[in-house]
Amino acid sequence: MSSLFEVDYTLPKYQKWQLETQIKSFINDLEKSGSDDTTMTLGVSCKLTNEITLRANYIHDFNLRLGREGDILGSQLCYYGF
Amino acid sequence: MMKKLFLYTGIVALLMLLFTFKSARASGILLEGLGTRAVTMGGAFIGLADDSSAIYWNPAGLGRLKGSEWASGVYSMSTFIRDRNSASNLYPYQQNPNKGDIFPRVYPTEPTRFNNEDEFWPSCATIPAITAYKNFENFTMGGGIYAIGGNYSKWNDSLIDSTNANIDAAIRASMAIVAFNVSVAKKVTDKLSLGMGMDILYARIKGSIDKNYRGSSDPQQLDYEVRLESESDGMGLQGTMGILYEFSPQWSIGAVYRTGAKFDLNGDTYARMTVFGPDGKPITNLEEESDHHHEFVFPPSWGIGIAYKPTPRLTLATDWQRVDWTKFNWPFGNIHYNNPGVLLKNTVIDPDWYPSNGYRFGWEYKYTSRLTLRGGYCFEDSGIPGDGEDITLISIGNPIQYANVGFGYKWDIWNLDFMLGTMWGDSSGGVSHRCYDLSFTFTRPFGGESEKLPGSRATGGIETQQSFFYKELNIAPEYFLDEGHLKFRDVDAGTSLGFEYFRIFSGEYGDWLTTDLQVRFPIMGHRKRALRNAYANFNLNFDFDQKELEDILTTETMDPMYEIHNAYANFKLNAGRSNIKIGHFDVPFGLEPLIDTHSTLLQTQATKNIGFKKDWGLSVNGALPSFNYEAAATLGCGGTTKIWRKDGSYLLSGRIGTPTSEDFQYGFSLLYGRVLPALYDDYLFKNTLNRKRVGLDSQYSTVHISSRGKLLMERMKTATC
Repeated sequence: MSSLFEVDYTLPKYQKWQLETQIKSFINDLEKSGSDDTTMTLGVSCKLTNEITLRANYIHDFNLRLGREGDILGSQLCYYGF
Repeated sequence: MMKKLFLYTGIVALLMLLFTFKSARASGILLEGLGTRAVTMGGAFIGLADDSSAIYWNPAGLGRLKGSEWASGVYSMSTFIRDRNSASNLYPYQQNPNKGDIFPRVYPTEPTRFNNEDEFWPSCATIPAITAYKNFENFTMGGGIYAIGGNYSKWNDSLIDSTNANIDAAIRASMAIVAFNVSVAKKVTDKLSLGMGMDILYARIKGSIDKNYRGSSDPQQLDYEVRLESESDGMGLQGTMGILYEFSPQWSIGAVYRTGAKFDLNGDTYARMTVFGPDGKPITNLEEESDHHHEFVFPPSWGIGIAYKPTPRLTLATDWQRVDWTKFNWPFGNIHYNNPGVLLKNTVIDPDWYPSNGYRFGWEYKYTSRLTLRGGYCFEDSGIPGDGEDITLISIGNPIQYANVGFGYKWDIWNLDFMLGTMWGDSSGGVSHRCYDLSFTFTRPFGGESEKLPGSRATGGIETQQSFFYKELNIAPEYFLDEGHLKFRDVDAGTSLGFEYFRIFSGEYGDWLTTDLQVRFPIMGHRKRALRNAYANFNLNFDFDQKELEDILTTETMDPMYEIHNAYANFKLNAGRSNIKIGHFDVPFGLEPLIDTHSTLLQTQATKNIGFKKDWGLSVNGALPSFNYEAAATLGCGGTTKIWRKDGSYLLSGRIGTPTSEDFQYGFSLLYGRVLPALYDDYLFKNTLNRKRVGLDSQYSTVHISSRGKLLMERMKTATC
């Protein structure tokens, strides 16, 4: 069973800024405890121009079966335009 | 010898009669008309003629129509016939072909009548029809394919005569006259329209008659057997002219004249007569076969009709129509053989039909904007002499009456017209008929009124093309915290250059094609780590074989030169309600087709839920006023540049949800297939997985906040591990 919940919030006074959060969970075996992969992501994005967006996020895993190096800090510079 | 001669003469006479007249008597008359709506209104449509069936009723009505329309439907008649006298079995000199005498009596011990008085022919006349029109400002073109006449007959009976001989008799016949119509109409003034049409008529007739006499206890009465088979077809040409005049928005009057048609039917006939000796062996066997041709006159007809709309919701209509049957003859009543013989003789017989008058009444009431109720009644002569009917005929007695009721329902941009009716008639010869009729027609208008319907994408005749070419650059490094230290994460599949080419093709009635192509060129990647990450994130119900995993990961994997993401063409059909998409696109399951994650960090669980986010295949999708839907059949292995199935993979998926224009949306998804999870063009496993998933998803958006969620359940197992 998998579930995903995500909320985006655009700051009313600073509409170039957006806060994002996402929780993903994947229970691999409903009858086996600890068989889930559950992560939470907190993010922020800033639209520098109509074409350029800067994003950063922080990923924390509550449980991963195979484990991971640790919490992840991601970043992205994206250009998308004509 | 005299006995044998009598037998021989009697059978020859029987065959002559069978062939020259009676085999043809199973043919028929005109059907109720064209179009469920018009037929429901009793055929009182000459003065109204305001849909595509006007090509039949009054082509001038086309001149008042706007936009375009096509309609497709079926009319079906089931018939119960009762002949209180059943079929006759008379000596040849007693027979009157015009009274429906088919089977001649040979021996005096044979009864003069058969016993079977009742026949029920379910769906004996089931006829599809397609009609259409298109308006070109000053004139309107129309056309269609439909049957204007046709019937079916099937009768059989068995008797035992006074010498205990078995007499079996049967007749089967069918006839169809199909019209291929082209019509044109012009609105001469605001009130006057003229129209004309041409029907290319194709007629096909097929029939057989059998009579067997066997097992008489009288040794002088030899067994005999006769059989006749005949088949022919041909074409004719009929012209139609019409006029329609609108006195006011309430009153209109129309008139129509149809020229009738003369067919030259060609075919072949086979006749056989066999007389058996006491030992059961044939002592006489006479067989003849010949090509033939005959002239078949389809009757001219004309009529006048008036339509009155006392209120905007109510329409009343009445017609008078006359069919000149005096020139009518049955196809086999006027026959010429290339090789005439003893059995097959050239024949000309006038069936003595007469002109018929029909009086038709119809009403229609718009109950709501979607629902219209209607009904009608018709009373008309059949044109058939009262004593010219018997149980072997489908033709209705004199007079013919029919009463129909039905409704029209507008759903979205479609119209459905439905009718139930009954037809009845009694002849002076003791034959009564009762028919039960059913008809339905789907109509789809384009332009004209349809432009006002919600969801119509008509652009007023402006043809446009919109294209967008986006350039894309993503730089997406990741770091991880290791004992308080921030370290570069050696997994990167996101840094890339790319482009997207999106194009909308628009025509006279709006968008008709949308295409999208997204291509990325990875700049830097660490494929093995990315694959490992994908493994780690993938759902499996069995434990990893760590060694096998390591073996896979140590094999050489190359970063792709390019990745194809979206690559599809979506053909808009039915104003966006039933589109066809082909190519590489989001699998319609859960939130995948709704969220564009192409250039974002937050990704969905597509790899876990499906095995990939996009796949190659075909989908049917559409946006309806109350819901959106998409159903797809794809290859099941999600490759970006590999467009083929692997290990029998396939995927069926579908989602139905509320319109994307609403703030609160929710949807339901199903997925079934045999998938091979992939990361770009690298398959994560050697073998496919069977997947069955069901999902619920929702989204809610306000000005500043948007939220979405989904819950998915799965039953999965490996197919061939």
